[in-house]
Amino acid sequence: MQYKTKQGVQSENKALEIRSLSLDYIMQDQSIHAVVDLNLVARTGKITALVGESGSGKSTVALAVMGIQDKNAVIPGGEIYLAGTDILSMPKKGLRSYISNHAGIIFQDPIDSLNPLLTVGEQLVEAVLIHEKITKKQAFTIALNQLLAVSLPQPEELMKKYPFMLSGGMCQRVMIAIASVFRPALLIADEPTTALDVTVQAQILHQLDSMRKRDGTAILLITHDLGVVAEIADDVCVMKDGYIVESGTADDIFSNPQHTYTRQLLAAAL
Amino acid sequence: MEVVLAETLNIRKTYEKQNLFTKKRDQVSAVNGVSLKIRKGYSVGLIGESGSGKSTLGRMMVGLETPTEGQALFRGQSISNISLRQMRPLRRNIQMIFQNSSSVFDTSYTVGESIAEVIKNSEKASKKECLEKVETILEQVGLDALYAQRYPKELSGGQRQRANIARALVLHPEFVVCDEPVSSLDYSLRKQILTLLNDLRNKFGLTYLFITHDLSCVPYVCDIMAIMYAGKIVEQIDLKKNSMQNALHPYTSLLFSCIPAKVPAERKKCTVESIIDTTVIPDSKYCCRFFPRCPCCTERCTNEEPLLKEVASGHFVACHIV
Amino acid sequence: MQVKIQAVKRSNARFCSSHGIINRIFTQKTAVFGLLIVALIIIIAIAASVIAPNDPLKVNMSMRLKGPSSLYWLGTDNLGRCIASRLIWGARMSLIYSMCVLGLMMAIGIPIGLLSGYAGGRIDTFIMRTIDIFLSLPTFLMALAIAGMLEPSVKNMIIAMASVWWAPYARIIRGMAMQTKQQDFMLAAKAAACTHTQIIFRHILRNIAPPIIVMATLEIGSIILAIASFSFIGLGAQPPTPEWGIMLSDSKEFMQTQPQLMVYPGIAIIVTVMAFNLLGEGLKNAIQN
Repeated sequence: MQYKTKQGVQSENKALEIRSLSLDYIMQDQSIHAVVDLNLVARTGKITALVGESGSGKSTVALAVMGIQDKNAVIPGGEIYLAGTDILSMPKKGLRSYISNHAGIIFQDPIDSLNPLLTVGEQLVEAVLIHEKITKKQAFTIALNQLLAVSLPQPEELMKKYPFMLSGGMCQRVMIAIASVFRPALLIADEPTTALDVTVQAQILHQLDSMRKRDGTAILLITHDLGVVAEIADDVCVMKDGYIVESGTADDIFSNPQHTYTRQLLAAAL
Repeated sequence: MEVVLAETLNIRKTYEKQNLFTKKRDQVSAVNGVSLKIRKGYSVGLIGESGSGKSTLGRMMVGLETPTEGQALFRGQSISNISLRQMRPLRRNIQMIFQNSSSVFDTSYTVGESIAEVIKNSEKASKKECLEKVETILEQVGLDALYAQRYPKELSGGQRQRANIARALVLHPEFVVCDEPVSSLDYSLRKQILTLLNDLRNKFGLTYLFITHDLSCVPYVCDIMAIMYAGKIVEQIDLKKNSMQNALHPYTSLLFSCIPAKVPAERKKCTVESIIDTTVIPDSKYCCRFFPRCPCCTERCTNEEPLLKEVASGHFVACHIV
Repeated sequence: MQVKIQAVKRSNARFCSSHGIINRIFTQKTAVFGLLIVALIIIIAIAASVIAPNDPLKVNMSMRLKGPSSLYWLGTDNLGRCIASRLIWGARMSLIYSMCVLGLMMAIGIPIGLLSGYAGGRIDTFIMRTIDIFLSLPTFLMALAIAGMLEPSVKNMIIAMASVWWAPYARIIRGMAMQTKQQDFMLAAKAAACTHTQIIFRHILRNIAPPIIVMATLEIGSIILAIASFSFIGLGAQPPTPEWGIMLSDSKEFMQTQPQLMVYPGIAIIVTVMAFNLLGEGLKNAIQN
């Protein structure tokens, strides 16, 4: 069943669907198959976790979906349906704005992801103005509301601060605010809490959880920490060396893992 | 009679900046008066979040940073304000495993050369003896002896951390400070490295000061658990006599409640509703530093600094409520 | 796949060792071009006595201002000396003088920069203020003034240039030493019981050596130009030394009638400077990547 929303045509419940995606890195004398024949679905209102070790290719998938993969990366085959449309077959012209209207991404190191020379307010307003042609004052109000939506205290004061004045957790919330300013269908979180303390991690995970409940955002959570997965994920895909070795609901994966690699990962829990 | 291996006497570290025009001093205190005793054979786990001062404390106890006040002692001898030359002979027995394994090695030398440097600085060993020692320690940490000829960039994260451990332990020091050794590693490698650290501890008779922000690492290598907040130790539990679950300080309870579930069935309905501005820590010496975040703070907490008191054998808490 | 990534990592690591850097230079066309020209100039300079067709100092007034011939490959100058031979010997002179200046500059600048960057505190402040004084003086004029005050000769020119130009290098080296000091492996080196000397030489210097080499290569061009300029105005090498700057100076009077007398040494200077610059850029790119 297909239905139109104000963000365009969306397939039933699937904010992101990846079919048989392959991605190779072309180096000087060889090419590395970073992603091989990957199939993945992120449903609206659900948190899908993509789990794997370093080098398994999970971050590569995130970059490919956002269209910001490395210059050396080549996609020999596959389709990425973002909110119903295959972005790999879209013409380059409208691609950027389509992706930024339908997906947002937050990275691991929040302080490095923000521009150190601009205040939080300036960066948020810039993000708003990219999407909509409105006045600066209106953009400012939207930015303020967005900061409140991610539960940051005293937003007026916060708008004037520079990233280095904020803690890691607050920066990560600002990143979430920027990425989700126009309620994208998909939010990709690439190891969002790896660099954060355990109390801040709990807050950020709670924030992501309430976002998907309130706005119906599909969240693709990329992590190597099974604790985070157990805490908030609905669906899990386990990735190894570019392949998805197992996928299913979180309950299934934890209680009844089928693949040896999944069992190894679970056994490595502290 | 247990030997006190490493100790700090009311140690403090403050970073100061003075504005030349307004003459206003901007003080950031990293460590605020910590007196910690580490006895030989009893490894201490120091738990705290970023900004709690645990890494600074660790560095002061190894003699890599000078305290503003107070002293760090090793076997009764002060290591805080001595020169590099006086410190050198002590380095055999005090070592540190650093957090960020990729930047700890000088990339222009191979792993073997970096480890050999440690040996050559402390004793006169021939080239052959050095090589033998390097190969032995590499094998003991689970790396093939061939890795001695590799450059640090050629190793994976887990292998580099093992090489890091090899470098710290090659001279069989007595006291080793492990500064978040598994934080930068993949989830699946953590258990391996923690098991390795524990095995080596038993094999060489080491005593660790294990610095981490992850409570779940503690049972693997530690006998005593100390929780640090805003530069002070707020709770200390001897794990042989008490269980970690008997923790009393509100901050420790908060840390426990934030640990992610092990399986989805144990998922908590997250209770961390209130957003606490973590950059706000009261600077005064006359109050409990945790009171802005404490769910059960009283007026006494805002006026008087709680001191560590013994509530059970081997269990110390700095709180007015308990 | 893990094996493949390891293999790539290993080859990347080789890239970062000296063999790797040489490999990476070979991938850049301009750098290879520069390297070939520099190599050619060095060979010419070393084998000057063998290659040069004639004695560069031999005056032969009957053969003055002749065109190219089989004996005089580029013709003769106003005193009947073989231009080609003078150019070839000039290459040797230029290289020797510039290496001397570079050597002195580095010999003064590197230790001072390292000391200042590593020691910090009062020593650093004192050295920096000294460097600031040197930097505030117009370097070229200073060098001229010193060379002018002492008797004009090659030795004095070299001393004059090195005594002023060490300052910018000391400052850059100080900056690099300070940056290296912040890195984690410095703490590890202290924990490994290294003495101050060991830290400075084994760790800091070894890590900043590549950028220093790049700086030096890029600087040779400027030094050669400066030496030629000094000789042009008579403060450096003295006639009859076959030096490109002197050749330019001698040919001033014949600019209108015999322009080739100026063109040949001019081209030699341009080509040499350009070659060193290209090589330096290539090295910089190879090290940075």
